[in-house]
Parts: sequence; C-alpha cells; structure tokens
Amino acid sequence: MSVNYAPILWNRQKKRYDRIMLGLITLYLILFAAFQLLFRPEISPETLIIRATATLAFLMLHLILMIGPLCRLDRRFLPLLYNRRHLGVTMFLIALVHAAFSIIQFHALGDVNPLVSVFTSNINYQSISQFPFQVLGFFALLILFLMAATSHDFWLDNLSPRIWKSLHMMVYFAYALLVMHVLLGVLQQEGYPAGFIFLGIGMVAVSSLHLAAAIKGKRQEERPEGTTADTFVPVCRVDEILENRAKVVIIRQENIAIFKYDGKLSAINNVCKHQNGPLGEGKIVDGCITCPWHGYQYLPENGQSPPPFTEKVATYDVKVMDGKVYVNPKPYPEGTTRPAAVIGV
Amino acid sequence: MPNNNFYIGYMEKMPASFRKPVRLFVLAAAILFSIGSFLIVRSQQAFSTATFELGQLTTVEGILRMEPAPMLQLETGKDSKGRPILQSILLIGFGKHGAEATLEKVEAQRKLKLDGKKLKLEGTLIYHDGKTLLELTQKEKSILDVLDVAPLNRQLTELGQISLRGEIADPKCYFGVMKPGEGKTHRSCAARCIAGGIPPILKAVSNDGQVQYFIIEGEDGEPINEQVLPIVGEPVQLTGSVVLYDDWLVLRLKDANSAQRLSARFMLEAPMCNSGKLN
Repeated sequence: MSVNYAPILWNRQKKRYDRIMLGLITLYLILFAAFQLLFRPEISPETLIIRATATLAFLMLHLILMIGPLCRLDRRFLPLLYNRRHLGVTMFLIALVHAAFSIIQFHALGDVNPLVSVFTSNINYQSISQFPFQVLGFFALLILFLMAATSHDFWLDNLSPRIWKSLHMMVYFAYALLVMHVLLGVLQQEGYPAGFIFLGIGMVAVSSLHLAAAIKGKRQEERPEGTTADTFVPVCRVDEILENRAKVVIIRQENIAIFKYDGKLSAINNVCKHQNGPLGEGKIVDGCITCPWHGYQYLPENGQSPPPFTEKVATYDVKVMDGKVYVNPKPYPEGTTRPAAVIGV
Repeated sequence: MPNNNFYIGYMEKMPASFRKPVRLFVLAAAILFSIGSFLIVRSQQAFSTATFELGQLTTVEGILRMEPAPMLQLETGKDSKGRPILQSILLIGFGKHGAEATLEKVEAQRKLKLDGKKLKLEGTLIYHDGKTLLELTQKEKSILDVLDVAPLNRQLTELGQISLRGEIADPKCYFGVMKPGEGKTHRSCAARCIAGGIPPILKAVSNDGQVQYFIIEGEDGEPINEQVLPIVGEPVQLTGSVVLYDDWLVLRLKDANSAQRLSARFMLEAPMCNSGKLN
C-alpha cells in the first residue's frame, strides 16, 4: 500500500521471491538445453529457443493459476500470492520471446507482412483439425500483454477495480486459448501420448484446485436467514470470533465481515477495494483491518482507509445480546462511521 | 493455525509456520521443472539430420537450367558406359523467396539471358537425403561470374501417370533450414515460402519406407505455387504425370484442385500408391 506510484516497492521478501523465480527459470532453461543437446542434438537453435520458452511459459502459467486457489485452501501459501504479478509479467516476457522467434522464423522475410501472414498463411478456419493454431496463441499473448501492461496499481486505480479485475480474469480465457494452441499445434504434429498426458495432468490440477477452493469457500459461507429487511440477524456467539479476526456471513447478498477487537465488534463489507480480496480472512494490525492479499487497510468503525489513503467500504450495524452477535445487513454508504458494539454491555 | 500468524507482503519476514508450505511449493516447482524438461525433450519426435550451412558460403560452378525450376547442373563424373553423371542443385532465393527474381535482376543488369550459361555462384548449401540446394544468400552478388560454354545434355525420362500420397512442403525448409520443416507446425512457413516463389515439392513415402521427392508444377510445366497453397503441410493424394529431369522427379498436375485431402491415419496405412514405375 503506497500513496505515490513507484515502479516496484522492493522489500526483502520481494527480492527473495524474484531471486527464487529467476533461479527456477534459469534451471529450466539450462536443463532443457542440456537434455536437448544430449538426446536430440539435431535440433536447430531457433527451434530450441521456441520450444524451451513455450514450454517454460506454459508451465509457469499453470503455477500462476494454482497459487490463487492454494491460498484459499491454506492461507500459509499467501507469500506466493503477494508477488504473483512479478511471476505473471515474467511469464509474459518468456511467452513474448517464444512468439517473436516463431513469427520471425515462420513468417518473416516473405512476400507479406509477418503479422498479416500469421492470419493468412493457413486459412482453414472452418476446420477444427486443421485450424490455424498460431492465431490462438496470438490472441492469448495479446491478453497476457494487456494483463502485464496493466499489472501496476496505477492501472488498477485508473481503470477502476471492477474493470481491472474483469480484465485480469481473462487469464482463464487466455489459458483455454493456449490449451487449444498446444493441442492443435505441437501435440497434433508430434502425436505423442506423453504430451496429451502432461497437458491433461496440468488441466486437471488447475481445475481441481479451483473446484476445491470453491467448495471450501461455499462451506465456509454462513447464510443466516433474516426475518424481514432492516432487522438484526443472529450470526454466532461472541466467543466464536477470535480476537482481531472476523466472522464472515452472507445475508441477502451482503458479504459482511464482523471483526472483534479491543472488547468491541464492528462490521464492514468483506470485499477489498484493491483486488476484491477477502477482508474477513484478514486481521486487525495496528488498529486497522488488513487485507490478507496485498495488505490494504481499513478502519473498523468507518470502513475508511487511514489517511492519506482513500479506499472506502460499506459498514453495517452490529449488536451483542446475551453473548450472541447480531448484524443488520442493510449497508451504510461506503465510509460511514457506525458505533462499534461493546461486548458485555 | 495460531491466531498471531498473519502475513502481509510488505513484511520483511514471513511467519515461521508459513515457511514449510512455501518451501514445499518451491521444491515442487523445482522438481516439476527438472522432470518436466527431461520428459518434454525425450517425448519429442526425432529431428532430421538435414543441414543448412548457416554463415558458411560455398562457391559452386555449373550450368544454369530454368526448367523445371532454377537449378545448377553439374557433371560429377561418368558412369560405366561413359555417360555423364549429372547432379542438379536447386537454387533458392534469400529469405522466403524463389531464385527467379534474383536471376532476373542479374539478367537485367548484365543484359543477357542466363539460362544455359555456366555460372559461378556463391551461396549457402542446404542438403539432405541425397538432394542439394543452394541459397543465393547475397542476392545478386551471389552470381560471381557468367561464362559461355557448350551446354550439357539433359536426361529427361517420361514416367507416365502416377498417383502419389504425401505432403507438400517447401524444399528450402524441408532440406535443412528448419527442423521440423514439415507438418502442421511448419505449414505457415511452407505456405510463405511457396507463395514467395520457392517451388513446392511433394514428399512421398513408399510402403517400404523409401522417400521420394517430386517438384510440383502445372500440366505444361508452369508454376502452380498459388494453387497448391491451400493443401500445403497436410496429407494429400495427387495424380499427375511424372518426368525425371536428370536427378529430380517432377510431378505435373492437370488440376491442383483435384488433390484429395487425406487423414494422417490413411497416410500411415497406405503411404504411396501406384508408384511401381518409380522403383
């Protein structure tokens, strides 16, 4: 969280993250080239670069897609999430090397512009088996470029979190395009069963982790029923909420996080303004509700980020009766101060 | 999990209980990258042993023949009956272009016809499976000298009507510039090369695994590069008359649109048909 835009706010964790990431990338490229020279030395240098970068970027995309659900399943993976954008931008750059070499190799020095050639050199668009697979890769790269180019918080603020998040959710469409790019390209050409098995394992791993995270999230959701609108709804006992932590409930489509701190209870909307992170899975640090995804902070009594920050979320009325917590799901405008419910009164 | 365990990215250190799963993830990624690179490399199909002498220029002398495609005709020796043994080096332009444009520019510059003349050429050799090509890497500067000599006789043999199954490729990539230089992943490049004037070839494999290459042209020997573009890089059956020009087979098609698309499976089961006259 920062008031001014800086290219990267470095800290010890980020530096370690990037060092490990670059180490793994180097390991892959060295091993790929070594195995290639050992087992398939006839390969041309261009094909070696094209295949090494393609497979590396695709493997990295799988890991990137797995980090989100892993964090939902076990919050101890959160250190992987915090710097994920570096992983994403690096993966895009590797994919760009693959694309640039492929376009130069297959389309340059010909009778038409190489980019025009990508779309016109194979025009079997009506056929599934003969479909021009390079076009699929081109559009996937375009999505990855938009994501990499807008990965900085400058774009998050200027595009609005809703548009930014929608844009970045397109990574799943890019993944689908890339699966087809691989299937209708190299796997169709090479025809080796191992390739189909690798791809299948990757797809199953990504989709099953997302499914497991969704099931866990659904199970954790509590949806107490309110009798009528604008009334308090019983949620849980006070002692079910840990100190400086929250209880999350969804009542009439309102996603509410009720925090317990300093002998009080306050309720705010559960969705962080930064990247829709789950505030209720966060913690009160230095008196502020702190989002577990990227550390954005809000004051519990008014849902406002402490000055000079400007993010605001909706607030709700909470009360305690006979050791039970009640919340009124009617939201107040974002940033409205509501008195905390005092426990034991 | 203890209540005091909470991680924010801008913290200098992560809580101790977070280290184990994060380390496990990094270890799993390292194992995935190590085993993955091995398995991916091992599961690739073998690459051809074709050669493109990139960065190495070679000088070759021979008689230029413009039919069926620009070639340099060389006499490499005599057979037991004293007849000359001829080898034809297929000439290719720089990039994804045929050699015609370069040769026409030289003809215009020198105001003479090159067909039938003895040329001294400097270019990059491409060779595989008994076939040799020369890329005119330095374009017009590749033609070092033009000499008038008595032309060598051509050895032409009509082999009649034949149906062949195989794949249309561009000879420049297939015989060495690219690996793989055939199949779907190379289709775009082959289409670009053929559209740029490089003569299309049909690679046909006989039932006993013997590979034969045919330069494809029209019924009257005219180039039909544009017409074959839709079927480049996929299994096809072509029917036409075959002529042997010295050491190159030429398949003359009456109509490129009569080509039959085949499934890859069909190709494996019956790679070449009606090829008896070629054996």
